[in-house]
Amino acid sequence: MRQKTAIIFFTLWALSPTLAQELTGDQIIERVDEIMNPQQMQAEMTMIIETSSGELREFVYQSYSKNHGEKNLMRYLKPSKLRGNGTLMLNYSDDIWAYFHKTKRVRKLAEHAKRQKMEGSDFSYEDMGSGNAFVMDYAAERLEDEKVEGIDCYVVELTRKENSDAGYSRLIMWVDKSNFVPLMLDYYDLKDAELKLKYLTMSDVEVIQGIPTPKRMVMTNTLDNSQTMMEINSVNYEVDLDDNLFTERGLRE
Amino acid sequence: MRNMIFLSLILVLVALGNCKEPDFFGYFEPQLMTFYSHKSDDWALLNSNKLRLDIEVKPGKKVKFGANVNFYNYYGTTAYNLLDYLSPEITAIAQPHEQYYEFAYKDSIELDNVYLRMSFQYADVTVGIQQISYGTGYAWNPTDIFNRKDVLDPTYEQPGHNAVRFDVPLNRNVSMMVIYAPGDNWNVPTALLRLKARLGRFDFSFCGTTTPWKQTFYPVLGYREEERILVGGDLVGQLMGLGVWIEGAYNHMQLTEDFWEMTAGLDYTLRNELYILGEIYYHSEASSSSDDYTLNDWMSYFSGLTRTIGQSQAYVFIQYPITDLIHISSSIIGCINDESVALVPQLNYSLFQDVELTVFGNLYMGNEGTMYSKDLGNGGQIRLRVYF
Repeated sequence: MRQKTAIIFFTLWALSPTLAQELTGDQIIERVDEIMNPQQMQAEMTMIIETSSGELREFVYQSYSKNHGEKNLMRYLKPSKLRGNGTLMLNYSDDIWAYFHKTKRVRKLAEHAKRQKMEGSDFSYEDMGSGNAFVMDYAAERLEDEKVEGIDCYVVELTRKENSDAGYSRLIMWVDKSNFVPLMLDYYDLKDAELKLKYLTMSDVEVIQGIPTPKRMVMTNTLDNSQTMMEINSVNYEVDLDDNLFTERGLRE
Repeated sequence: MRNMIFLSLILVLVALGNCKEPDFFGYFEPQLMTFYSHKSDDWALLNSNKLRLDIEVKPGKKVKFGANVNFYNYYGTTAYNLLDYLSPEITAIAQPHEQYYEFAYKDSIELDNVYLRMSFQYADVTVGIQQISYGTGYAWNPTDIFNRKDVLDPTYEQPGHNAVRFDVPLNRNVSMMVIYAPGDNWNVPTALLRLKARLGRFDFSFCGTTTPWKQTFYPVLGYREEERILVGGDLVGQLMGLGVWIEGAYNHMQLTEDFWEMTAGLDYTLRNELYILGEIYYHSEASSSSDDYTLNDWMSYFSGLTRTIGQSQAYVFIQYPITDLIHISSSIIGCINDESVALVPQLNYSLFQDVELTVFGNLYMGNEGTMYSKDLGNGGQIRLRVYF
């Protein structure tokens, strides 16, 4: 009930054009963070990679999230090669454990492991993981508003904070003014802030249990023209996830 | 034994017939291995086929049955004599009983897992044959009394062990694992207690194990069993951006010399995704010079009783994804005492969604009589794995 009230209040507040125009970059990013990291979430996702050989490869996994992205658990359902493998990320992905089903081994990974690509896709674990990265790792500055495919958007530039371990020098985000869903996100190289590495587009936005949810995400690598598509097959924000799920015991299940 | 396994399989399949949604999966792994024998001045070729068939079923929300059967088939040069790969000084004393050192790969069927896991509010209980792996080391795990990793291929699956295992979460950050493995004799089991906890960015654990330890002494082929009590611990976490870990154990032996083992390592992923891992290992009772290696040391190493022959070893692993489908990597393993090195270059090509091709090299570069002597047989392997 409290969650529904908060969502209604938030939606009314977000739709208020006078107030919205006065939003700073930080405030917009905080709203994005709230939308993208709900209190709890259980989802089944499909990731389709177009490989350099032109073949399409499909990965299906279950994703569980709690405390606005502070706890995350991911478990592969497909393909057979990865079936049963999982990743547990706590403290906004500062602590990571990987479970390998065929050897029944759990291995704690350091943060640098987030730099690796997720199964050869255009998403790194860093792109997938830490819920509050936009707020914690980057300083936000609002740029001039633009339209993306006819939709009014805030444009926010996120510049990497000095002591941050983020993998990009800056990000530029186009945020739908009506619901605070980021529709497009450009990623720039850590060393060359002018070099765009890849961009993410989010579409097929549906309001599910009161939360605007982009059901389709496409990451395009501008350097090698590869593409990874991610779709939400099902999602439940009203699920009650036990804390025990986000433990090594939960990871092994 | 085979009849028993087949009977078990039939019983399992009949039982599964009454359960809903059993999952069948696994992989087929044909492998071609070749290596050069300096003694016979010839290349040997060993081919194998492995079929791993997994079954998992959840008869209830808190109950899980899991099993996997491995079918192995070998052909080519399946038999060889271990003495052909050792220095003449070592083999001289074994010559009268040369036949005892012959080894043959035989077609076999093995169970790595046949277990029932029941989840209760305060514990998970797993009964049956199960893979048991713990410890923070990558190439060596001094606290793991059940397994010894192949340092040339340390992430390969380990065999299962017949045991009863209890996993008990004590609170959010502390858990306890208790294992009772009866082995050959109910009165002399292997028993393990391991406490694991989180503190800041680190996981650490303490463990105590007791086990009946069997040893064969070469060349007299004497046999002895003694009690081994292991007390150890491990730590893994992050320090200045690096992944770091340490694992060590003190072993009290009832009849032979006590010893301790330790491993420590670190890893890092660069921005360009180059992954680097380094690890060192020390065994207090192993020989510090190749002049002191004995036939018994070599045979204990080959049979998996010990993790080393030389006292100190170092391991380096480097991996880089050259495309989304191809990873290249190399392991460099060195025995610090005798200055011998083995190089394992590797190429991994993801051919299709569930088809992987791996090409390994096994290049031993040490002098005669050293731990990674070129006499051990340079060669390589081609491994294809098809998951289903």
